[in-house]
Amino acid sequence: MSSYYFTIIGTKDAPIYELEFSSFKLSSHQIPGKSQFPPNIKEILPFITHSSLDLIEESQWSNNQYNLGKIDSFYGISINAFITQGNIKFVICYDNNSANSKYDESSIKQFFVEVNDLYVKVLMNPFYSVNDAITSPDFDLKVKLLARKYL
Amino acid sequence: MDYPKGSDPYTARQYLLHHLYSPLISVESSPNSDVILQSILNDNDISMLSILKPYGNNVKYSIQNQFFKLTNNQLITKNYPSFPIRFEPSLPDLLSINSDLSKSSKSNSLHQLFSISSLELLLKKIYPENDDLYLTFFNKIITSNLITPFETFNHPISQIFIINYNNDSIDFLRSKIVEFRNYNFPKYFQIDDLLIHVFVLYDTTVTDEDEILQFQNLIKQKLSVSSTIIPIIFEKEGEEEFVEILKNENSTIDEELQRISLQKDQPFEKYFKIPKKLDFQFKSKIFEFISQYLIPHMERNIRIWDDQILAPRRSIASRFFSVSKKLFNNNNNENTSQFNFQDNYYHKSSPEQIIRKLADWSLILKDFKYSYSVYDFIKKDYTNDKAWIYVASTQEMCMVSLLLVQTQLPNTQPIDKNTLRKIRHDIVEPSLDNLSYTYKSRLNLKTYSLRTHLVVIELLLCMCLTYNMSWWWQDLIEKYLLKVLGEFDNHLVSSNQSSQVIKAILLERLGYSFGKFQSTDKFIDYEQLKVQSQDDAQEEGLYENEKKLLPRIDAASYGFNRYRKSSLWYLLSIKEWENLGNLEHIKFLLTNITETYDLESKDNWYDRKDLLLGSIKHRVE
Repeated sequence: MSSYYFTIIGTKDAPIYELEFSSFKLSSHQIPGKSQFPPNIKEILPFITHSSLDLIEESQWSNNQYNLGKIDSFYGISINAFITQGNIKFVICYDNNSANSKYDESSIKQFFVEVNDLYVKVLMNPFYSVNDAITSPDFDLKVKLLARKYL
Repeated sequence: MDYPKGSDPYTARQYLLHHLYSPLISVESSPNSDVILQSILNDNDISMLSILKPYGNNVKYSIQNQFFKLTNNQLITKNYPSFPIRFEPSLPDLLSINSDLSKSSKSNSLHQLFSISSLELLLKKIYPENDDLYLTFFNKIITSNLITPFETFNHPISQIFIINYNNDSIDFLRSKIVEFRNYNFPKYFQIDDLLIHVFVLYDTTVTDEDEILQFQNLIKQKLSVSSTIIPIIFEKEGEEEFVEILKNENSTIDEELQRISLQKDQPFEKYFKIPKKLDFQFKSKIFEFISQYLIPHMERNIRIWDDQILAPRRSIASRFFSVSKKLFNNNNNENTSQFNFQDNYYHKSSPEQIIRKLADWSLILKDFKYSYSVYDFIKKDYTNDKAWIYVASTQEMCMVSLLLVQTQLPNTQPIDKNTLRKIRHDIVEPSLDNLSYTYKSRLNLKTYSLRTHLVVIELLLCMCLTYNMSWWWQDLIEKYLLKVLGEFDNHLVSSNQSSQVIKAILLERLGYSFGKFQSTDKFIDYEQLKVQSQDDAQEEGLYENEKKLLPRIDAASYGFNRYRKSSLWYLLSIKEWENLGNLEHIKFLLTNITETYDLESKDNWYDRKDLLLGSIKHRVE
């Protein structure tokens, strides 16, 4: 069962939304949706995400897709990224122990696309300006539902 | 731009040439010559060898206008400002240390290059007082006086006898030489290549120069051995000036540990104090020895081997002969190779062993191109003989000599892509995989593979810096560093130790290598860019949209560097150091992440207490 750490990163490299969760499939013996990252990884997850920006920024010049796919891995943690039209980055870190990674790739892509829809809706809110933290509980709930649906 | 700060890989490259690929000179001094030295230095624990050892490094302890002329096989002469040599104990002593080691590991005649646990122990002991830890670590890994059959860098090139003219007679010298020659040397070591030389010490107050010159002639006549005289000048007390000479120059891990444990009770003296006149004598006489005897001896031998052994083997006729021999010899199943599978060596007189020595010596004389061609040539023969340890070691030297050629500094014309591709895909990657398989799985000698990896990493880093082409090598450097890290970790965990210091040092190196990454071939001055973008001040009186997203400060270099990745590795290194409580070093490392994280301000996302950086900052304050 994989654990995930999902972040939305603003244009100034600061995270504006983060969520830690685990796959909802096959969870039998623990609280569903609770991530299983060990504490020594947990404290560096935001830094892993942050460091992967180097690679995102490099590959964004050579790639014309929004979804950049898997761009990096670090101590057994894979990192997938998605970049929006407004240069906001979605980054997801996950521990790579599920066997069918191909299936994972495509479901992460679906997840990104739908989160992008949600993000655009947030952006259209007149009281929200770019790079502010996203605190809306509604957004949070919807992202969690998407996570449950796809991951 | 000098960010991040760390050990320069070019210094590591220099260390490599000074401490690993340099001539090893074994020294045997008579008790009387030790006595005269002890009387002038007022120290009863000093031996001739311990004094000579630092002087071998003639980069640090040089005479004025010193240069060494090296002539390669194509008769091109180049001058070098330094030519360091390593003084070590005499060959029988070196071998006896080795044989003790091999007794303990019974079945195999080969043993590890160094002990990982003692390396960790040593680093734990010295880290508080050391400012350039990575270099020390690297230096200790490459410094060794272990004599192995498959590498001839540690086979002495010259044997020096030191006698005291006033107390030792010529018969004493003769008996010493005879005793030495009759020693039962290992079968892979060729004593005929050894340059035997004598240093004669004499007291200037008792003996005059004519007398000593006569004695020198006598040695030449009777023993046909060349000699150098070193006058020992006693000065009146109070009038001497002293020079400080570092004691632990070029010492191996074990020697260093020994020194530390012996000097536990006494205050640690780092330097010898040597009278200025004596210091000058030593320097100039060693220079004389190197330039007049050692270098010509090596050049002569290289030329002879090249003519008599390498050239005939390279000829077409011999190739044809060897192929036909293989084809027709198949039936009787006779093994034609001279390789001794039991003890893993070639006999000293076999061409394979001599050609390997030829390549090593020409590498020592800095003829990297030639030595690469020789290594590449002899590799095939070793593979045919299934002499795996020789194959692995030659593969290592192939890579090293090739990278040394590419990183020679005056030569900075960019390398074309095809060559780079060849170096990477045909030479470095397969060789490293292959040799680490041989060292680890076939022979269980993982320390050799660790050394090779570290050496190759440093040379690749040199290449990245010279040509600004990190994107070619960075992934390899990262992969290899992580591999090395994993191996150190595994070893120490399995022997119930944590590999904290080594781990911290290697993580720091990862940070350094990423910090130096630039993914364009043009050099971008980031500092300059920042200054420029700050200068674009707003005009007054115009409407200003406060919400407007300004372009990034580093817009032009966007995506061209790896500072953020580098900072992550530095953070992990800091975490290791935090467990060891090395605050000084943590403060130094924090300066290496300032480009990514603003450490002055307080309200950034990375200052949260549950994150690594936040907790470190909290602890440091």
